[in-house]
Amino acid sequence: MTAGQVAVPVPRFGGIGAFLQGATRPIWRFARAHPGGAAGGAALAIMFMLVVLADVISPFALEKPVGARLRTPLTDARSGQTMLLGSDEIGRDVFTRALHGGRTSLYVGLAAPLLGVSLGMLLGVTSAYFGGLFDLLVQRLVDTILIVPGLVLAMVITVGLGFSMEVVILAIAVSMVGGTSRVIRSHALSLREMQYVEALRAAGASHARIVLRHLVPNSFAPVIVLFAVNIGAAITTEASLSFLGLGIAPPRPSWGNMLSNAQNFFRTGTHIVLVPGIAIGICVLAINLLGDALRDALDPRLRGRV
Amino acid sequence: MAAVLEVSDVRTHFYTREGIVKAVDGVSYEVGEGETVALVGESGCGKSVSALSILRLIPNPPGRIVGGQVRFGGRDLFQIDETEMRKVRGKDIAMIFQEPMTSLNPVLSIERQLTEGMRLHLGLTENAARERAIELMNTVGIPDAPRRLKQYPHHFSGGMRQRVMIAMAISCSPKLIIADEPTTALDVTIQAQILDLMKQICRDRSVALVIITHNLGVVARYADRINIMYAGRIIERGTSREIFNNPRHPYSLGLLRSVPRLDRARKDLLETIEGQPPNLSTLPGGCYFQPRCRFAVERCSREYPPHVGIDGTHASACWVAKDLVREVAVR
Amino acid sequence: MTSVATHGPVQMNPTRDVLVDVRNLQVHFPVTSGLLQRKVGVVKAVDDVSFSIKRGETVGLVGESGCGKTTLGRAILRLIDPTGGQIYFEGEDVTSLRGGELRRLRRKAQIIFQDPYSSLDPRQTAGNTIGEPLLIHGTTPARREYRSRVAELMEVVGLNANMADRFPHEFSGGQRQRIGVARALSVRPDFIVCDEPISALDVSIQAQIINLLVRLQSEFKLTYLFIAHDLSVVRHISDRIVVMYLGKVMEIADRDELYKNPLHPYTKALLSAVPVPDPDVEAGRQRLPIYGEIPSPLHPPSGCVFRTRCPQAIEACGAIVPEPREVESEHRAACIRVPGYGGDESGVASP
Repeated sequence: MTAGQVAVPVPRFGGIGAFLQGATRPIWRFARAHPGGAAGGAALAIMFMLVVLADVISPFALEKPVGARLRTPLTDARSGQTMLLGSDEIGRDVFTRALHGGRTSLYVGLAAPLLGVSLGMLLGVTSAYFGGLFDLLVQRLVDTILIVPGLVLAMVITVGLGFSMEVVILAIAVSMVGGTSRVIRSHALSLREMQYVEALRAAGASHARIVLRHLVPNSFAPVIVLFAVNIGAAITTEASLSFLGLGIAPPRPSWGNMLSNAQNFFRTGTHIVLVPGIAIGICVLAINLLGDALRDALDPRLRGRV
Repeated sequence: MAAVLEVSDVRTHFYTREGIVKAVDGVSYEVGEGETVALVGESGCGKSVSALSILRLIPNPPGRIVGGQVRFGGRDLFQIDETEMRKVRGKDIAMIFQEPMTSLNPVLSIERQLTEGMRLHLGLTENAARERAIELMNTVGIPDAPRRLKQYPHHFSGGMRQRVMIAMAISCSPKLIIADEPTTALDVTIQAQILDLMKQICRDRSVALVIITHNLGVVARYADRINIMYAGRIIERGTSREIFNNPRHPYSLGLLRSVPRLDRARKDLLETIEGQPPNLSTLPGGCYFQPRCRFAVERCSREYPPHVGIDGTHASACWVAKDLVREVAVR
Repeated sequence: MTSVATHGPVQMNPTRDVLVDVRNLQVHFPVTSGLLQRKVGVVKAVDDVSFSIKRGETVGLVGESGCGKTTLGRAILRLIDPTGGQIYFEGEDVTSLRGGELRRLRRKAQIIFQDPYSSLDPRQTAGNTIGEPLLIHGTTPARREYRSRVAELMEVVGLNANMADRFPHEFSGGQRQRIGVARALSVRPDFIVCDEPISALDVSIQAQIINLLVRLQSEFKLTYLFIAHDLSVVRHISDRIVVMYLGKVMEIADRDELYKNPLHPYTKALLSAVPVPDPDVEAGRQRLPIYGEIPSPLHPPSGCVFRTRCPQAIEACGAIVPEPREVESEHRAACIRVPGYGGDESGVASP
C-alpha cells in the first residue's frame, strides 16, 4: 500500500451519519421524551400539509374578488360558499390567500436560514479552527457586514438582483451569515481547544476531516437554536421587504405582504391582520419547540435519559 | 477531647432522572478541637457532598439533605434557620475550595474580597478591616501586603491565590475550616508549602481542619484521623497510623498498595483494584465494594457490613476485617 | 539512509537503536498584544533541550506546570512547530516535514492524552474514535476487516468489543482512557508520547492504566516518552528520567541513579516535596526548603533559571546559563554547584 495517502470514504459513522441516525429514531420515542417538541413537530407537519395541498384545499380563486370587501370570517361569498376566514380589502378569500401565502413564507422561512446558517456555520468553524490571519480577516469582514442592518443589506441585494423568490432567499440568507458565524465561532473556539482535535491532528487527519466530521457535528447545538430563531426572523424580514415593495412581487401572496397590506385596515377588518399574524406566530413557536427538542435528542450525551 | 463538630448519620440524596443517587448515605464522624481530620476517597464517593452538607450548600433541586445531624457549637446545624446558618458560614466555619482560579471573583480587588467577610461578620470599619487584611496577608506569607491588596486575582499565581483563600478562611477566626482538595490544582513544591502553612495556622490558632482529598500522601503527613469513603459511606476510620500501618478494609488496602512509592523498592507491576468505581444510582447488593473485592465471601453480596471495631478508634465496615491481618503482614 | 552526525555529549555513539533524538530543541512562543498583534515578548517554552530515547525504553519527563514538558512532547510529534533545533526519528530529520511525509511520521509516533473527557469526541462512538486513524491512513480497505481490527484493539486494551457502538459519556474515566490508548495503538506506532495519562484518573484506576501501558510496551515493542508531574509514578515506569524547569533540562539520569543520587538542587527539592503515604516515614522526613513560586516564563531569571528558588544559589548562578553536562557516568546535570560540573569558569555561555 502506497504510503497510506488514499483517503477511504467511509461516511457511515459519525458526522452527518450520527445526525441522521439520531433523526430517524422511532418517532414515538422522541415524542415521549420531548412532548413539547413533538407538539411543535405536529403543528409544523399540519401547516406543511395545508400549504402543500393549497391548490386542492382552497375553495376559491387566489387572485379574484369572490365576495364583498372586508367581510368577517364565516360569512358567505357571492357563490354561496362560506368564507372560512372572511374576505380581504378587495374581497379575496383570506383562507385561500393564507394557504398560498404560507407556501411562500414557509419556503423563504426555511430556505433562507438553512442557507444562511449553514454558510455562517462553515465560516465560523473554519475561522475559529484556523485562527491567525484568516480568522482576523474573516472577523473584520463580518464586522463590516454587521455594521449594515440586516434589512438594509437584504434590500440592497434585492434591488440589485431583482425581486424573485430566489433573490429574496439569498438576500435574507446573506443578512444572517454575519451574526451566525460570530456565535458559531465562539462556540468552535472552545471546541478547538479540546484534546480530541489534537488527537486527530496527531493521527494525521486533514483539516477538512477535522472541520467537517468533528467540529461541525459538535456545533449542532447552537446551530439548531440559531436556525430555529432565524426562521421567525426570515419570515418577518421577507414581510418587511414585501411591505417596502422590495420583496417578492405582489401578485404572489406571502404572510408578510398580507400582513403589510392589512395594517391599513386594522380597525375595519381586524381578522385580515390576525390571520397572517397568528399563522406566523404559531409557525415560529412550533419551530422553536421542535428545535429545542431536536438539539437535545441529537446530543448523544443526553440521549437515553428519559 | 471536646468535639467541635459531630456529624452523625448524614444522608444527602440527589433526585435525578436516572433515579435517586445516594451521594452521602449515613456518614458519621467527629472532629476535635484543633484536630485535622481527613475524608479520603475517589471522585464520586461523596466526600465533597458530605462537606457541603455540613454548611447546607447542597443545590436543591436536585439535591436534598434527607437525614442526620450536624452538632456544631451546641446546635444542630440542620435545625437552625437560614439566617442563622448564614452567620455560621464564613464566620464559624470557613471553606477553602480546590480551584484557586475560580474561587476568587476576577473583577473584585483582593482587598475587597478579603475584607468583605470581616465587615459583614465582625462589623469592622473599612480601615480596621484593611489593617487586619494586611496582618492576615503577612500571616499567610504574601509579601508586600499593602500593594498586593489593591491587585486583582489575575495578578496572583495559583499558590498565591490559595494563600489568599487561606487568609480569607481565617479572617473571622473560625473554629473549623473545611478544605476541599486544597492543593490538587497546585504543583508539588507549592503543594507542600500550602499544606505546611495550613497545618501550622491551624495548630497555632487551634482551629479544627477537615481536609477532603484523594491523595493518600497528603493524608499521611497532615491528618490526625482519617475516614475513608466509598460509594457514599465511610468504610474505614481510624488514626493516621492505624489506617496506614494496619489497613483493615480491602479497599483501603488496595488503595495503599496501588500507589507507587518513593520510599519502597520499585516493583515491575503495581497491584490494582480491578473494575470501575460504582455508579451511585445502580449500586450492587450487599457491600458496595464486593464486586471489586479480592476477599469477598458469600455473605458480602447479601448484607452490607456494619463497622467492626479493630482497636481504639479504628473501625472497618468489612465482614472479613479481622482476617485481613495476615494479608497486611505479608506485604 | 542519512547518517547521524555525532553530537556533543548527547550520545557518545549514535547507534541504530536510538529511536528519537532531540537536539538543541527550541519552542519559543511570541507574545503579542493589541490590534496589530505587535510582538511584545517571547516565552521560551522549550529552550535548548537535548536528549535521546532508545528503542524500547521509557523516558520519563518530569517537571512542574509551565516547565515546558507538554510543549516538548507536542513538538517531538510535530504538533507544535519547533522554532529551533532538530528532531531525529529513526535517524531521519523530521523537524520540517510537511504533508504526506508528516503523515507518515504520524503512523509511527502517537500520543495518549491526560484528559479522558476532552480527548474523545462526544459525538463519535468508541469504535469510530479508535478506528478513525485507520481510515485516515487507509490501512484497512475492507469494512469487515476494519470492524474486526477495532474489536481487536478494544480487547487489547481491556475493553469489551461489544461496547464499540457506545458513546464516550457511557464509559467511566478509566475506560475512556483505555479508548484513548487503543486509538493511539491503532496505527501500530513505534513511539508513543504519554502526556500525563493517569493524572486525571481516580487513584484506584491509575494503577490499572499504568499496568496496561507496561504490558502493551512489551507486547508491541513500544517506546514511550512518559510525561508526568508525579515523581513516584515516573520512577515506576521509566528507564531514564529527564527533569525540566522553565523550559530547560535540569538533570538527566537513569531511573535508579536519579532517585538514589539526585545531583541538581531542583531534583532534590522535588523529591523531598513528594508526600509518602506512611505517617512514620513522613514524621522522620526532612523537607528541603524550596522558596517562593515558579517565576513567570515571560521574565525568567538571568543565568540559571532555578536560582531564584534554589537553596544553594550563589552570585555566579545569575551570570551563567549552565548547560547539562555529564557530571557522572550517564548522569547529566545543569548546575555549577554540583561537584564535578567544572565550576563557573570553563566555557559556559555567559550573557
